[in-house]
Amino acid sequence: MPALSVSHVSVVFGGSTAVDDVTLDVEPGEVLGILGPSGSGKSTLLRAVAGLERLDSGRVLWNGDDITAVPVHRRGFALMFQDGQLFPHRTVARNIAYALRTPAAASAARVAGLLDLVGLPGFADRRVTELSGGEQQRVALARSLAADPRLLLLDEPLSALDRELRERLAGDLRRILVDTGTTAVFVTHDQDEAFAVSDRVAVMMEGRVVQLGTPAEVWRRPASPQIARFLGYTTVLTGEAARLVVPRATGGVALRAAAVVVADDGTADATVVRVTPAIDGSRVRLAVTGIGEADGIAGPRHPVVAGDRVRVAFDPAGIAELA
Amino acid sequence: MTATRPRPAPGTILAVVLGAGVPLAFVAVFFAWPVATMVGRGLLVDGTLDLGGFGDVLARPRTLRLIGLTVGQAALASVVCVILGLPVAHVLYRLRFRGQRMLRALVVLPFVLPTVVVGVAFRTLLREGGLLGGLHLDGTFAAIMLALVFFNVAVVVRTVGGAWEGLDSRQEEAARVLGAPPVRVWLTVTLPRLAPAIASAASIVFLFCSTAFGVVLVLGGTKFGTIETEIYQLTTQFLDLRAASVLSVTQLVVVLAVLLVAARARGRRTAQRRVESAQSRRPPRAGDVPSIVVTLLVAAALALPIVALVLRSLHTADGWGIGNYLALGGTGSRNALVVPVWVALGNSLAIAVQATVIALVVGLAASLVISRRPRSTALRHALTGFDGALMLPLGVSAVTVGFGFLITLNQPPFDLRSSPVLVPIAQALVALPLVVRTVLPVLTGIDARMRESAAVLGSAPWRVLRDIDLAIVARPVLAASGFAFAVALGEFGATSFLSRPDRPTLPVVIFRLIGLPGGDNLGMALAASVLLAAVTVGVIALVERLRVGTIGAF
Repeated sequence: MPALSVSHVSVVFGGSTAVDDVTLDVEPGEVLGILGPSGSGKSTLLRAVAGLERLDSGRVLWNGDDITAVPVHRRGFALMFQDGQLFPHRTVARNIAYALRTPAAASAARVAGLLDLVGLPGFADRRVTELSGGEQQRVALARSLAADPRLLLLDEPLSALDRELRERLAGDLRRILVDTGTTAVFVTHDQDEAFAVSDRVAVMMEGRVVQLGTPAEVWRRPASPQIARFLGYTTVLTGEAARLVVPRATGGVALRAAAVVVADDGTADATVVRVTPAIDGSRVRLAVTGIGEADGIAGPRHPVVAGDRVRVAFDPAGIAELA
Repeated sequence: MTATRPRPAPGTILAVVLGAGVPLAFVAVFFAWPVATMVGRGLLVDGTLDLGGFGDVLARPRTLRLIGLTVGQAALASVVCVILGLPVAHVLYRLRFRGQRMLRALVVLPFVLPTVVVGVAFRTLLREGGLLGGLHLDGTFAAIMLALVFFNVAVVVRTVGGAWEGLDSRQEEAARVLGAPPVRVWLTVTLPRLAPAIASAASIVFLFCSTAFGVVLVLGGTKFGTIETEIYQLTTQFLDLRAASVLSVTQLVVVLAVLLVAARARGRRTAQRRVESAQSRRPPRAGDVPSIVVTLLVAAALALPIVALVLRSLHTADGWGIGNYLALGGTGSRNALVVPVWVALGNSLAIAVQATVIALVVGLAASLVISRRPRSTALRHALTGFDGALMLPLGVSAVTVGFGFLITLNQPPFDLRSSPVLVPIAQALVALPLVVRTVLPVLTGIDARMRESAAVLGSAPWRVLRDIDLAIVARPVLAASGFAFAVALGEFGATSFLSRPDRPTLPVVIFRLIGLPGGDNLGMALAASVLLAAVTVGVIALVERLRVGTIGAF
């Protein structure tokens, strides 16, 4: 039996439907990523699961029990926001211990253990206002895990951080969730983050779940041109053009810039339209014979200028076939 | 499919009803009803609408002159306060130097002094034989103007300074790099961004000055007055309630108009991005000399009346000494007082404590309710309206409130006329806007998601209220109680109507003493003023240590 079931849930805000008839299951111990552009309704769905939004229709079940009418504080969940929402009038330790209803001595040990887990040993007596953004998010994670929530909800937990820190924390987050066996739902607009942390990914657009699968499935086989573009594929081809890139393609083919490489031994002809210098060569806009305009890359050994006639090769690593 | 909604936890609805109900009932019974009744007195004759009273009263040359004086002096005082306040705000909030904190405290000091004390201090300074007696300003329009500016320059400094402090100075830097000379930068970049704060401060000063009572009553004598003092005299000396009502209504209309302007100015101010004050402050440089000179002059001018008051209080018929203070144990020459001054101080403290408790309970409940952002638009508008209604006592004169109490609360169901609760209630009403203005911004500043975090972590609504809202607001509430206490202690307008002869407060006693000169009475009034000022300043100094920083900033 799934741990969490979201069944035909809709949330309407003053006439516009934020969440539109969404049905999802999360297995025990699973991390489900909800990936979508801003305004897709993913955060609203998360808040609905937490009990913070009223459902206009549908039900939320936990282990088969309908918890739709259970108030927020009796659900035994935890929710971590993009900016942590630490309590500024409490120390790090008193933030983490907030959800603990245990004697002080026991909670001190638990707090120390959690601080170790999130990589902040010795931070117990710091003021939360003195912490960096990354440290605040680690404390917020520890606070969320403190009471052993049945379900951990994460609303863009890494989005407010800079890129390097985000990548490192995404790895840590995955490790901590797996080590603690936490069932979690994780909302993000960043596909790298979603794929790094989640066991399965649900892609949401305009209030609906438009694709559900493992990160690899979603990555290799986006369900629609819109999903492919959202995932960073810049060009979507159909018909003859698609088969020029993937000969046995049955549907559409989506290309990232990295898939179209200027190379002497390439398989297609192209004209360079525009060149933008990049660290490792240049990004180019190409008019490819039989395909049309597409983004591509030219390595440092292939200096090109607009107007050049070049050969291009297709790198399978940057190509997805639409499902 | 049927919609399933989580039911609110038991007690939530009760909490909301109590939270909204208590302040609503308080404002309705002790503010709206007395004021409405008073309006009725002016407009209704034998149950029918009759605007004739307006024609009569407003056509009197004396009335017209007083309305003109009221509006004129308030407008002039606002302009002077802005002109003097801007350089001071610049020096105290944009520069960084030693002694700045002390200077800020000195500038705010007059604002918290009881009006009667300021009146007495200015008379001491300006009368024949006073430090500035040679200027012959006693009993002139200029004296009133000086006292009004003395009081209110702090409002401009705090309000504009607070906004200025948060302005990103990189916009000025950008303009300078583009070749604009300093004056042009100030006029085209700085001033427009300060305009909402200046407008807001000026309208508040206008409001305070147009309803000024104690200071005008003490300094104005028989020649000068405001609508406010006229209402007082019509009621207490000529017993012309109808004329008093007409004037109260007239004043209410003026005040409402100004409050609307102030609200608009406040609304526009929120759009600006604020920076940390540490980023925007810098050490003084040569170009700051003019504003520093103005600041020092203003500071000296603010200190002067206080120094004069203290010095004069130590001056007795037999030379320097504390004789005036020793006399506070008695009832004055020719038995001017019913009770000794010390007893009046005790009354004042006890009544101020009661007023503070009332203002805190009502103000905190109201702030908690107003700080919520309900999804329903109608409910949101209702809360905005409620917020505005709570600010009304700030502008509606204390005399009007006191007068309103007299004509409404003397019959069932609220026959409180002889009850000792009337004075604390009136004082609480005057302090209420201050409590709300101190507490509400902190509460609205709490991210709703912080409460949600606590709820998801297992906290029931009452626990969220305790652990988040009340925990965060604890210090501002403490500060607000200090302000409320200080305001109640010095309140004179409403108290002068309502206090019973056998239980006078200290400001009432001081006014009585200066009204019956002769013997040691004036000396006692001065000593009592110093005493009252010292208690007030002591309370405010404690509050300042909390560093919530909202005195005089509206």
